[in-house]
Amino acid sequence: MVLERINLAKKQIIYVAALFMLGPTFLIPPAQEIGSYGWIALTISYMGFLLLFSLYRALLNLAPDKSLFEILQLAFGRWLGLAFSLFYLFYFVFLLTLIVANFADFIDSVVLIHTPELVITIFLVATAAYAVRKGFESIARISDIILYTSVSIAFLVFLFLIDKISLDVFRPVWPSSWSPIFKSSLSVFAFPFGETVVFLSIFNQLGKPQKTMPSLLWGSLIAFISLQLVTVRNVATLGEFVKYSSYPSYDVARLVDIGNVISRAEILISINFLGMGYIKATTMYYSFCSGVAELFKLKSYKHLVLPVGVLVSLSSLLSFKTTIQNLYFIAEIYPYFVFVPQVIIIALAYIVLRVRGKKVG
Amino acid sequence: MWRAKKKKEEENKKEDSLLSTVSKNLEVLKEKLHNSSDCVFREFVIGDKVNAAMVYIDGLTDKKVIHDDVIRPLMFSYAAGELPRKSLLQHIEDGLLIASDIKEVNTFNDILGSILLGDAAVIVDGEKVAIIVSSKGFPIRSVTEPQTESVIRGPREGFTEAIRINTALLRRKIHDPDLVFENLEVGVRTKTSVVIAYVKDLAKEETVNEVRRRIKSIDIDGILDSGYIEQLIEDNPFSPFATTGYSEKPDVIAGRILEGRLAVFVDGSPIVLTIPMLFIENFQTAEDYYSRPFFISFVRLLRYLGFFISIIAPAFYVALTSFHQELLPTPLLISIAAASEGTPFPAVVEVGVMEVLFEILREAGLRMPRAIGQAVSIVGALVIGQATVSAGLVGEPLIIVIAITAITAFLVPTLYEAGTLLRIGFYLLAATFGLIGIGVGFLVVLVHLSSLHSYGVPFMSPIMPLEADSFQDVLIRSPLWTMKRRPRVFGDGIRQGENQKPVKERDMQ
Amino acid sequence: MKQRLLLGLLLIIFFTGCYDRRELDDLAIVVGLGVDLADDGDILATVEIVNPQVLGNKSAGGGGEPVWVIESKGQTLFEAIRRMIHQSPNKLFFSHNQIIVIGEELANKDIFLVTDFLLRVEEPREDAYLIVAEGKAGDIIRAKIGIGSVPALAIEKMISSNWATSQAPMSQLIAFAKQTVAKAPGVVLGRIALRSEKEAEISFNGAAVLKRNKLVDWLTETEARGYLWIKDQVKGGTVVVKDTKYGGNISYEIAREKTVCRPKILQNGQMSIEIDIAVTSRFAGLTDSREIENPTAWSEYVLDLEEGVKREVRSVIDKAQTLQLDFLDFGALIKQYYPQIWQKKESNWDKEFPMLPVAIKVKAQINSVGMVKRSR
Repeated sequence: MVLERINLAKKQIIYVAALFMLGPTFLIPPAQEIGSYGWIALTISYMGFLLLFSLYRALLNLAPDKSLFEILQLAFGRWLGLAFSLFYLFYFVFLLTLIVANFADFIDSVVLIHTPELVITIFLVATAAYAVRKGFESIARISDIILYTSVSIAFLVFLFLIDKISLDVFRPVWPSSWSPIFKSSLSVFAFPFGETVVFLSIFNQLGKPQKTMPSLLWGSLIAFISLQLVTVRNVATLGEFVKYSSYPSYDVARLVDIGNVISRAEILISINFLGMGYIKATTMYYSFCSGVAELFKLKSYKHLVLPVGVLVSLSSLLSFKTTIQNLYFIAEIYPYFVFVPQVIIIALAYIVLRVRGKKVG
Repeated sequence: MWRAKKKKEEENKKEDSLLSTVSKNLEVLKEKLHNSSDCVFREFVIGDKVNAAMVYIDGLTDKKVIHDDVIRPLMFSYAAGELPRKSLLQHIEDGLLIASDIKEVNTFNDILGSILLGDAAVIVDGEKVAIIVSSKGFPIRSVTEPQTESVIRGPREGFTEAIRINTALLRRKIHDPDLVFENLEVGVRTKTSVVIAYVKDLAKEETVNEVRRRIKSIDIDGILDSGYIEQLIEDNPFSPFATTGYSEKPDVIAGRILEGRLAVFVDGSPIVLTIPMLFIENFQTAEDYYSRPFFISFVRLLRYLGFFISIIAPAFYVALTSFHQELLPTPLLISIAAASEGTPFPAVVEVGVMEVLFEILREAGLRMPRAIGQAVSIVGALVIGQATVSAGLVGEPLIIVIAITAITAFLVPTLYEAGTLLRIGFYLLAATFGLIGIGVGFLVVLVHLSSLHSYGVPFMSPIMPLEADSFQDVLIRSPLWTMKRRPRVFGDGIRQGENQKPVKERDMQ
Repeated sequence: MKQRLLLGLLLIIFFTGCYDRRELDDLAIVVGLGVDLADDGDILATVEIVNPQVLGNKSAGGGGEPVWVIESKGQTLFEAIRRMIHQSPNKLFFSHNQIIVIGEELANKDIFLVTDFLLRVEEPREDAYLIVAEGKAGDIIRAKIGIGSVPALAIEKMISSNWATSQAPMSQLIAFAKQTVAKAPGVVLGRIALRSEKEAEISFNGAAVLKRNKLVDWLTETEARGYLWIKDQVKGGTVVVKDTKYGGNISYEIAREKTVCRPKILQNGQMSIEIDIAVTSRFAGLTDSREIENPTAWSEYVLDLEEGVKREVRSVIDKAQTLQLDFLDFGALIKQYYPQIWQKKESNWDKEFPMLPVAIKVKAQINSVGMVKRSR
């Protein structure tokens, strides 16, 4: 594929990155299973992300102006590199499937109970496909509006609930046992922070990757602060109940009641969740399509959009039968599986390039 | 078919030059004009000796000019035998014709081209050229206040159908030698003149070149209104949003040209296009800048709100009453439920039918003569509004929603078409997916809007991408002295001196 | 072109189905739910459905009942509610349910039978009030309050305006769920009672004490107020104190209040709870206002008020300690501030709680005498 240079302001890459990390995590806040210690797990995993970020940055310094797939082929040779690239593509489409499944499942179990999941899935995928066909520029352009509204809505909900929150639930501050905390930090690290590996595959389309990297950092900072806000808000409002709620942010929104006027607004708020998930889903979708186009040297990714949409719809319908399966998967299996593409392969590539770089230079 | 004609014309070009005798020339011309009844062929003799003729189209020319300034001097200036045989033509041109603008042509096609525009052609025996005398004079509508963009404060003149008057109206606003009018001719049969106007150092050159290229590449038989040009050169022919601006008022066009846009005048149309266009232009009116900023800012916010309500209200009503009854406060739910009790159709159908009925009424009222139009609106208000409710066909809350929609839709008239289409789309989405449908639809509309470009400029600038520092004229209209720069997408030039904020003499000391 | 066709096809699939659409006139809007235990051990549900035609039509006064009450039986609450379809032409719609009343007998057995369903299903809202009835919940739901009003909405208003007396907890379903999942040993819910059969007079005051899911005892108005003092939820109301000097009673109106509860380790190493209450009030009624301008008398008034508040708080602590049930959640306080100590105490807390020393400190302030200094 002849790479299209995409003209975007730095600001917008920041926003896309932030929304990418916020995305479905607003709906299913990370580390809810450890309740009042969620903020600790979040902080630990963010520290982990900062390490990961420096790894990504170091890798890009070794191979400037290259996309993820080019780096892989550079490091592991043609065939192994191709195999790894395919693995990454699989991971992308898998992640996309997961997001679509999450949202379709949420809508189907909370808002539109009688509508077949097939219809909802096709609807969501079709709208995402539209945005992907319009190009990454269009996706990025709507990101600032969505980010501003989302963060301000999250904050407003916080304000509206100020008389219902109790900070006592955060005591004792330090947990008696750290192992569940570390376990959920790992899952927070995998979802959403580690997923930023996706950006490695599209950064070279957005200008000089080394110059775009700081945007990722700022975006992650926005995401981290907003997630921390949401986590603290949910725990302070729902207390221990947060552990057992399927959609805590949604439950929190249900409790807003200002003089019987601003009340019962949870669906409006869930639409806002959708907006954030939309950015994440379309970014994944775009990177998968453009990745395939790059790898197989197609002229344009646009012909791929529709078939990929069909594939994603079907696989998301078939992947999870129930919410519990979905949640179990996210908590128990997913973090270990994605550690491979998010950290291990990247680290290997870095080491190989480093060693070889010394030989050459 | 007209393509074939065009080809033939080109072949005939060689045999097109004038002959040397008047009678033969007239014969050819008569044949070419198929003896049309409005063509006048006046033959006369100059100085008793030389045959001459004059050809013009009746009704397009100023009779007084023809009689007093062309025929009279030609017929009475020379006594017999006084003729300067050698340079009669030169003599006529230099000394006889009392016309401000004459030119020589030597082909029949050029003669036809000129007389069909309202000029007169003079042919003299023995000369293979014809003199074209500018004698245009046909009835035109005078400059009146445009009905579509009426103002309380501000200039009241509006464009007419005559392009020269229109360009003059603009020139009278901007007395700048850099204001350029470029003439183009479009339409194989109509040969409509199209004028691109811009200020040389404000408009981006590439935009001007692009627009010129696009207009030149139009190959169509006729241009009857500037709408033709708009549809043939626009960037996004499949978008419900128009990405070409227009206005009927010289002051609006002047304002936009001063911001760095260019204008396209089309002969025969009082609507002048402005290029490129931004989404926010829909929410700006000329009066915004003539009145003081505070109230106008409020009104502008109302326009945004009104547009939003007008596209979302029926969909929202359907979503709330048929999908998410839990979102309504309990007392409101009870009163809406009471109103809809006993109505025969589901809310989805009610909204759809009322929406269509309203559009029918609007269309009927619009095209009718004014007197009948009034009758239509009375019937609409009484029969549709009153009777359907009292007959129990629809509930009162729905009528309120439709009425609000209808009124708010007219707040932003230039977005009426796009707004109506969006409203129907949102309504369908709401009828299927409730609020989720509206939300996702909203995302799609946002993506669509953000992907739109108007002649190389992002249509949604400066909202998407967000440029907070160029928001002086978006949501609110800040004081004139704060708008130091032109909109960034048009070149970002400074348009004011420093410190234009009014300062009292007392404060200066 | 093919893609356009596909798109069109998709659109047709979409817009032909309105799967979740439900018409307003097909909904029976439930505003109140009462759950009882039937004699044979089944669940008996009573729901109050509004009749919008009577309520919405303002011109037609007194044309029919504003509400309609139906009841149904089932092995579970859900079954009972689903069976109501046999009696109601319209589908019951629970999103606007304002109150959940639980009958005494059912509360004695297991309240989770009710709450699990209400939390799990998406329609009922978590901010509905969960209250316990003295006697049958069905009787409360069926009772008429005033003329032409919706009883459940009236009760909801009664509960939400209860802050003016602060004599019963405004217990919402979500609060109950929060306490339950936090493994609180006891939960306090509002109490509602039918005072007189004939007049259908309803009173909402006092509270029910549940040992997790079972009703164990009732709290009087004073005890309920004491509970609210400890929970920092007193928003208003009057404190009445005996006038020792002139006889009669003095009433103070509570304007503001702030309570801080902290566990504290005493010098002998014993764990204790310290309750600090700061209350601002004003005079609302005096037997004799002769000495109101006298500073010493003023400080006596303040002392009286402090004693009055202390008495209320003490009453509920005594109650909890005699019940041997930590429904005041002091255990959680200790866990929050001394997690290590709590780990040792947790298993034996039932035994230790009755002996837990509690210190109550009240700092009162009277900041207004009212519109007059003396009235006689």
